[in-house]
Amino acid sequence: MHPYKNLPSNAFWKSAISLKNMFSIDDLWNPKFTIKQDEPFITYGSCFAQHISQALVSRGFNWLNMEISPETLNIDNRKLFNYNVFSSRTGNIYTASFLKQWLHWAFMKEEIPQEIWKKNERFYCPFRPNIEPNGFKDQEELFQSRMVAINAFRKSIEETKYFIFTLGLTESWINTKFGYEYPLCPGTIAGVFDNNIHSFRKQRFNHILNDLKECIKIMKQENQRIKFIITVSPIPLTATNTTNHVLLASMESKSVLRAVAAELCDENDDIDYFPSYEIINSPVFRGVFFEPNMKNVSQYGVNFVMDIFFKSIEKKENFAESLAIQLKQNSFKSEEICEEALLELFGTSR
Amino acid sequence: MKNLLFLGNSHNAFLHDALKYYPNKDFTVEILSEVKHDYEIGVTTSLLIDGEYKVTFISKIGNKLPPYISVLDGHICTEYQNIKELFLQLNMETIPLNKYDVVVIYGFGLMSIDFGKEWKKLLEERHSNQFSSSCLEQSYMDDIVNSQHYKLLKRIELDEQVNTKIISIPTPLVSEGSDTLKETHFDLPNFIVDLEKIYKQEIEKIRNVSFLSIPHELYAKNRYSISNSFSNDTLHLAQQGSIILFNKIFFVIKEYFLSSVDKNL
Repeated sequence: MHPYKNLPSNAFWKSAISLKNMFSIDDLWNPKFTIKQDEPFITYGSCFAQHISQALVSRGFNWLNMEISPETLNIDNRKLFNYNVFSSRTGNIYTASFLKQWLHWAFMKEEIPQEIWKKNERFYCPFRPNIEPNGFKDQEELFQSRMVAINAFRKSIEETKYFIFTLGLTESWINTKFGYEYPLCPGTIAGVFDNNIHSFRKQRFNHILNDLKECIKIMKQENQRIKFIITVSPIPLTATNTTNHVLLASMESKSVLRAVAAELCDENDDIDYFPSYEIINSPVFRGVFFEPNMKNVSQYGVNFVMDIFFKSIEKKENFAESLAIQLKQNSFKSEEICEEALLELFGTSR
Repeated sequence: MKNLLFLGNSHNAFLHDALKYYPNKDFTVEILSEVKHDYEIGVTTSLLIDGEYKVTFISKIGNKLPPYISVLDGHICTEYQNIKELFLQLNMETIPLNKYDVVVIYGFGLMSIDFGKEWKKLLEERHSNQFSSSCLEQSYMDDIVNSQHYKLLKRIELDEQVNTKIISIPTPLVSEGSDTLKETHFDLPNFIVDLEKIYKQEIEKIRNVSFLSIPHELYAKNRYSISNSFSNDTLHLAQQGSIILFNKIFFVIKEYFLSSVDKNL
């Protein structure tokens, strides 16, 4: 008798993968905690997180949208102005450190940098450079809009039950004079790149882990019931500023992020990891979920990932319900046999 | 003789009635023929203004019906039996647009603010500081391209056989919510001016179409000082208000013909 003897079939490559059609591969995610459809969710992170919010809404989940667009703005323009993309109009939050920066603004009363970028007589926010398709009309409007977003961001964290965050990048750009981070390299969308103050930072495992830990600590101080679902974006880097080939940089970046997610999940019962990265990127799926550019994930791929997400939640909920019913029934029979009954239940479920 | 067609909804019917029944010093009105006068279906009358302009009114009451008139091969047509009957009384199954020198489209819900609740909502959005000016501007553009008024103009534009001059007029910016709005939103007149600029810009992208705003003395801010400009329902222009509006339309139309003559010369 050895530990491998009684492992479930999904622990073995042959039974879990080789003998299966790739679209029938299941049990990829077993949620750590029961997730209720009617309890509030918020989503933030890199580009791929947008798919999660849309999927939650389309499946009737309680996705919190803290910044509602003007009523007559049509659906396409809502997206263009970054409404209904994340739970507030933060724009993409690619790194753990940038999430930390938002949390500090929202909860630690940290001063918000006054830097602005100008282009063609329009004003752009360095921290949400793409939030408006043509920037803001003036500085005052920019700051006002950012405060609205920060307040909405704070409220979303205070009110949510589940925080879904998609880690996207390990490469970031820093203002060395004041120490804050940009979501994009200055000069790309707007602004002017200044070699003296704009510095590239490749974030390491410990750095990311510590930042994420701090993020979680801040959020849990503000909302004790909050639970976290972390994902890693399956979308490769658009470009790297390291000296590596973009393929290598991308793999390294995702691997580091994945390792951070694993570390956090292993240590915390209220942090779970959803494997969107593996589903899209594993050689088992032969790259079929990518568009021809091998970067963007096709709608089919997104649907496949999200189907697994929702099926896993449903399965967990059904299991929890049946467990609760059985425990209730057994409690009427006798208090003494509860533990035994529980063990039996786990035996049958496998 | 110049041929004019006024096509619209209940606002158009009120305008028609004002011209017919309200004597005024600025122009002469002679009733040429009256085909039907029924508020449930429409109003179609030919009036002769200043002995030179033959004006036909077709008004379909009610904005909330699905599209009830369309444009096909240069003609206004309909599948609705009651409107078909109306057209037949004009001895036409469909109305050929090119028969008219100028077609005025008045009403048909150009703006969502035709209705009180939405009007209030737009004002609240404007004053909330939640949205950037360009986002609000885009939302007004999206509003207008969704309106029946705009869709009708686009259908006319897409029908390449139509060459006639089109004038687009919004409905008066008043509503049942105005009493409250007047008390709470002192910025209302500025908002109306801002909105109109945007709507004018969108409307005039359409071929052959000119946008004509409602005279500003009729706007919500001022309407209490000339309350007899509005009907009892406070939504429509009553006789005095209608005549003020028609004077403006008539002035623009005469200018148009004068400039056309200049061009021909």
